[in-house]
Amino acid sequence: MSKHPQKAADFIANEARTDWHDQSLWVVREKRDKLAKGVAEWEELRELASQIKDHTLSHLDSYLEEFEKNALTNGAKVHWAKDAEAHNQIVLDILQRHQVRSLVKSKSMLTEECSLNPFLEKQGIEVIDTDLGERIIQMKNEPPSHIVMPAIHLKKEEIGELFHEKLQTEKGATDPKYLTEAARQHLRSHFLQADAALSGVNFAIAETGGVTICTNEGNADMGIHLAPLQIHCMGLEKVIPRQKDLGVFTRLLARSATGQPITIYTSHHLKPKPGGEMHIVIVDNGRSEQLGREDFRNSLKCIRCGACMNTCPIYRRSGGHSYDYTVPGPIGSILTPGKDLKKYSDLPFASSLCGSCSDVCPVKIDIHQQLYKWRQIIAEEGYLPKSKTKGMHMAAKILSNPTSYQRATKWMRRILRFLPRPLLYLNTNVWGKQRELPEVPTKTFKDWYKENRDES
Amino acid sequence: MKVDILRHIRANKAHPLPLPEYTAFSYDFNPQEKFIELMGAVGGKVLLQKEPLTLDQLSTLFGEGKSIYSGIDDINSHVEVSKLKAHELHKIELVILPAQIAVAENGACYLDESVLPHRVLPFICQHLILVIDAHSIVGNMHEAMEKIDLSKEGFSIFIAGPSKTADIEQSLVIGAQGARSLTVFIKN
Repeated sequence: MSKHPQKAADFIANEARTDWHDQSLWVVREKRDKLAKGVAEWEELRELASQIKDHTLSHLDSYLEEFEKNALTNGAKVHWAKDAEAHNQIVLDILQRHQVRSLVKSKSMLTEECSLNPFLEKQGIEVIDTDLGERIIQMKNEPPSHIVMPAIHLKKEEIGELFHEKLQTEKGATDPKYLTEAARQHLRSHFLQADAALSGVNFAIAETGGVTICTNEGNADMGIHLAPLQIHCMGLEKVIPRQKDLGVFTRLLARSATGQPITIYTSHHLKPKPGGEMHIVIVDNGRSEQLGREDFRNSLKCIRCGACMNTCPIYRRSGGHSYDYTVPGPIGSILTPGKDLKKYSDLPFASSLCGSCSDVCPVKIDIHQQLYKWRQIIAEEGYLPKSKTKGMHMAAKILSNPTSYQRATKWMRRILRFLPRPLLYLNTNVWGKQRELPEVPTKTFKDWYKENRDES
Repeated sequence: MKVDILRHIRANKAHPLPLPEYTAFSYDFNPQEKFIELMGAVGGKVLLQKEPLTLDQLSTLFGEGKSIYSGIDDINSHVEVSKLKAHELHKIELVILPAQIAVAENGACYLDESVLPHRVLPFICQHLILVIDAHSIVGNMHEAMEKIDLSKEGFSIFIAGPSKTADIEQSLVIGAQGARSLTVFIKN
């Protein structure tokens, strides 16, 4: 069995917990719906955002150059990294040049993608994630299970236990308010001591050369403004043309992500602080390659709101960790095959192709259609598991010929009724693992039609 | 590295697609009413009055004897930010700052470095008070973007409520890493 089905099976083994996870995310989806419906021009905004991103991607080189030129004029230093390794080395070099021993980070899926934390820790640099959810999973030594709510898979009892061990909170304490306060005190002490701060980037504006960061906790700003050295790491698809366009994206982002009208903080960092240094690292890591795949390039429009995860019936019932990639859920399942087709060949199948992901996507990525297209490629490349190919081949043989199809339906109706359960639900019947086969009808539609056809 | 990446992009990008032109979307609400409604929804407090803000008012709201940094004329500062090191700024409890504009549709208040003796002030304080002129409330983000200039100051920000998190079981907790409360004082 391939990885996602196995990990999903492990996840749903605990039914109550699966229901709880499913429900938590559905609440976020409902909040998103409420907020989206409150904006009369919502669909026009989605269309605009989609077109702005399409335009930007089709002029990506010139916008990146414009962004770099303006950022340099503003006094920032700009670096380019072709892959994760180069990115990590650039960050390490900057930190070492400043003899940084302690680094505070705000949420950045890019640095997760590049495995920056373990790399820096190996070099003796203390890395503290400062988003509460990220700090929780860092202490637990786990990857995030959601790009916006990294610790959505954990219960407050587990977090209470963790904080008791790491932050000496009272044993058995589970009140989110109490636990958040403990984290606040703990993180403040790190903000005040850090030598450097590193953040991700939500939007890099070509026109201004500045980077925009959206948070609710204020952790990015606490880190960036207190430390003398600030580093912003961005995937090269984060650039948008103009300040004006930020208006469109900030209207969509938080409403889609968490059902808030806007994130509490939307900061625009243009110049280094007086006496400080500001670095921007622009990272490719497979993005320019994805740009060349016509059917899949618009996955680069993603603004990382996570709405597709919250709505996905598979994600909600299998958990973020079952995808085994930094960006899980529907969007992760169309980003990963381009990175390693063989390794992630199971992910485009982690979908019912219901299309809900595409419906909620604020930049109108055709996610479910890309999932379908990846499936074709995976089949052509021979990465389908036997459990799928065997059934497919058999179905193709039967369905391609009317006589064989009619014969099959006739005999199957007879056989299925008498086949004992254990034989019907053999291990090879993957579909029937959590599902009941429908009741076998007494006659085929063709027979019924013959009998009921109005001859007049 | 840069040259390689850009060359790769040029080889792979799609045929040029147009940048859509658009103007600010209109709205049918009263900006001030909408702003007050939104502030309530995100856990902020609104003071609406003609008279200037007084120290007595602050004492009633936040308790006596708080250390204050004030960026408005009506209230005196207790601290001289320039004399404090960055790491001593957390001792300031109340920070009062003028905001340039406020956005009705989401409760966001905009200010830039020109009113910040230190960039961390609005985050590191325990309680933040933003002062806004009633005439400076705009309807939506499009209008806001037409009125501000992000290229002007080294740092600028929209603040739309007190710091908050829902990272523990989606329970909303006000007062994560930034200010524990936000009060917006609307002068009309």
